[in-house]
Amino acid sequence: MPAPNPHTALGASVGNEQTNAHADILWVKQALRDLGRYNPQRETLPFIDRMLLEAVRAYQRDRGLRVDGLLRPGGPTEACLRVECARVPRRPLP
Amino acid sequence: MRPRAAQAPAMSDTSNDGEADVGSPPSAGGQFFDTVGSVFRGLGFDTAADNLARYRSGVGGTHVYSNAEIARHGPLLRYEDQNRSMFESFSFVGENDRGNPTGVLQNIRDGEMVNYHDNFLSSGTPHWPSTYLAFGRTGVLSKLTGTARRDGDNIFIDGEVTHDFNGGNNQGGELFDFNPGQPGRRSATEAEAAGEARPFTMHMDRRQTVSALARYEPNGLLTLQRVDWGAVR
Repeated sequence: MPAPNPHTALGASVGNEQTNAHADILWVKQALRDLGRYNPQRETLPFIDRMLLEAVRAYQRDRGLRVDGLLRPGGPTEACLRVECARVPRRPLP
Repeated sequence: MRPRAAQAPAMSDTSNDGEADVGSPPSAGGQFFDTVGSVFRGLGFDTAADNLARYRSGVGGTHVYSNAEIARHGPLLRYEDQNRSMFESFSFVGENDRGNPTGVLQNIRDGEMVNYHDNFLSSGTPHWPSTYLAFGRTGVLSKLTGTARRDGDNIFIDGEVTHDFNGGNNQGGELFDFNPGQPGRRSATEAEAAGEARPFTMHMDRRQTVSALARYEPNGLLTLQRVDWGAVR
C-alpha cells in the first residue's frame, strides 16, 4: 500500500468507475457542501450518487476545468476544491 | 515603518502656520520619508514608493489605483478571490457568513424579482513585503448590487460586484496615514505639521458582472448550480 501523500486530500480517484474509497467520497461531499453546491436530502452516505456527480460537473464547468466528473489525487479539480474550501467555514453534512 | 490600515479619517491641521517656505529644506520628518521612499524605489517596491511620494506631496485627496497596479499585489487579489468564494458559498444560497438563512432568497415568490445586495470583507496583513509596505494591514471589500428572480424552483441572481479597499462600516476607500505608536508616526506628525505631508484616500475601482443559479431543495436549502463571473474591468 503506498504511503499517503500529504499534498493531496484524496487517496484514490473519485467518479464513475473509479476507486471511490469511502473516505474520498465523504471528502468530496464535504468540500462541495462547504461551497454550497451539495445539499443531500438524507443522511450522507459514503457512496457516489447522482447529486454528487452533478455537483462535481457543475463545479468543473464553473472553474473552467475539464468537465469529466472525475477527481484524481493531486489533480486540478481536487486542487481547486482544496484551495477554495480553505477560504470558507465548514458546514456540517446531514 | 508602514502605513496603517485606517478606519477613520485623521487629516492633519491645514492651517498655514506650519507651511514650509519655498526653497527651504524639508523638516526631519519630510527628509525621513524622502529617504525611505528612495530605499523603497531602489528595492523595486514601486507602489510603496509612489504612496510615500503622494503622502509627502501634501496634497491629500484620493488616488484610484489602476487594475494593472493592483494586479501586481497578489495578496489583494487573494482577498478579492476569497470574497468571490464567500458570495458563492453563502450569499448565492441565501445564507449569511455564519451559514444562517437570511430569508431573502427563501421568501421570493414564484415569478417575483427583488433587489439583492450583499458584501464581504477579507483583510489581513499581507505577507508580500511590496504589498505590506505599500498598504500596510489592509483588506478588500466586495459589494454585490443586483437582482434575484425566482422561476419555479430556480433562483437567478444577476448583478455587479465592485472591489475596493475597506474604509470601515462597509464603506470603500482606505486612508493612507500613520497610526499612533507605529514606526514613522513621529516623522509623519512632524511632516504633516510642516505642511510637507498629508494623508490621502486609497481606492481601487475593480468591478465584474456575476450571474448565478441556485435551486430550492425539498429540505428547504438552496444549492448553487451555476455561477459565471465576468472579467474584472
